Amino acid sequence: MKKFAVLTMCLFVGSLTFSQKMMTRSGEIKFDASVPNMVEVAGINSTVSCILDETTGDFVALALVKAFKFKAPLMEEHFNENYMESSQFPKSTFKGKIANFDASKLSSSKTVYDLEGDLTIHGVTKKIKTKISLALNAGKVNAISNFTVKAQDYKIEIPSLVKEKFAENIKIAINFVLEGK
Amino acid sequence: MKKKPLIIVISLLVVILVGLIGYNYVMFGGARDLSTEDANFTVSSKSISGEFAANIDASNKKYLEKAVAIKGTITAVTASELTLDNTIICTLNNPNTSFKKDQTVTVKGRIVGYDDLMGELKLDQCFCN
Repeated sequence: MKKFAVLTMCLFVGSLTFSQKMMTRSGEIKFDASVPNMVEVAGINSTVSCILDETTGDFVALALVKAFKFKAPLMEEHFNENYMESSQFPKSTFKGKIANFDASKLSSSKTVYDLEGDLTIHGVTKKIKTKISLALNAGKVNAISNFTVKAQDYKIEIPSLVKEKFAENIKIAINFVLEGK
Repeated sequence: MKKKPLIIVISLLVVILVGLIGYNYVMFGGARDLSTEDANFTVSSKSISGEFAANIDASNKKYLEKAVAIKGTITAVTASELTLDNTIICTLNNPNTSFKKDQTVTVKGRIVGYDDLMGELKLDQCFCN
């Protein structure tokens, strides 16, 4: 009986240390392509999916383009139809890795890691390198990262007529609260 | 000769009015209201998630942006979100706490896309009649 108890304990502990997938389906991505003193060009998506593998540091995220919300419905329409062509390219993804990730070192204070991987927007995949800060809070991992992308890198064409209203470097801010399954 | 100022004032008012309406339309207009639209498709949760799992591209062409009525069983519920049969996530138009787990409902909403990371279909602007 004791053996059995020890065995189940081992199994239990084993499954605890091996249940390493942290995920969310309500992550937040904000993007801002505003130019000072011009109309605000910004959208927010709060239904982003993300999975972090705690053993390997693999970090994947997926955002549905049509889920980006704007203050002005017309801007949302233009974003989808003219720029992101979201019927043709319905999702944007990131597949990458957090360098030197060690789940046991996560703590309530923010730790900054290097994040590197493939970002796919508008059907174009580019390698990006950025920083990501991770903090453990009540069993949940809060992942925050800020970086910029250029529209032309992803073959998003901005007509010259309105070019001055868009920032060349588009600010992207991500904020995910990842939970164990 | 007293008519001239009046004409100027009226035309100014008209210009301002047109400007305001135009501004209002650009800033707030053009939103879609699904409750005034008929559903393009009426399906069961199993059949539509099966279709997406089998062929994402073809299903995207068929369903994206469309108003769809889906019948299914609620497997998870929050004030702003219903999950039908574990695979369909419906974001509600207006937060509503009257839904209960295991309830069978027909949800109408806009297809946002298929999340192949989670294997889930997402809808927004959802409501139940």
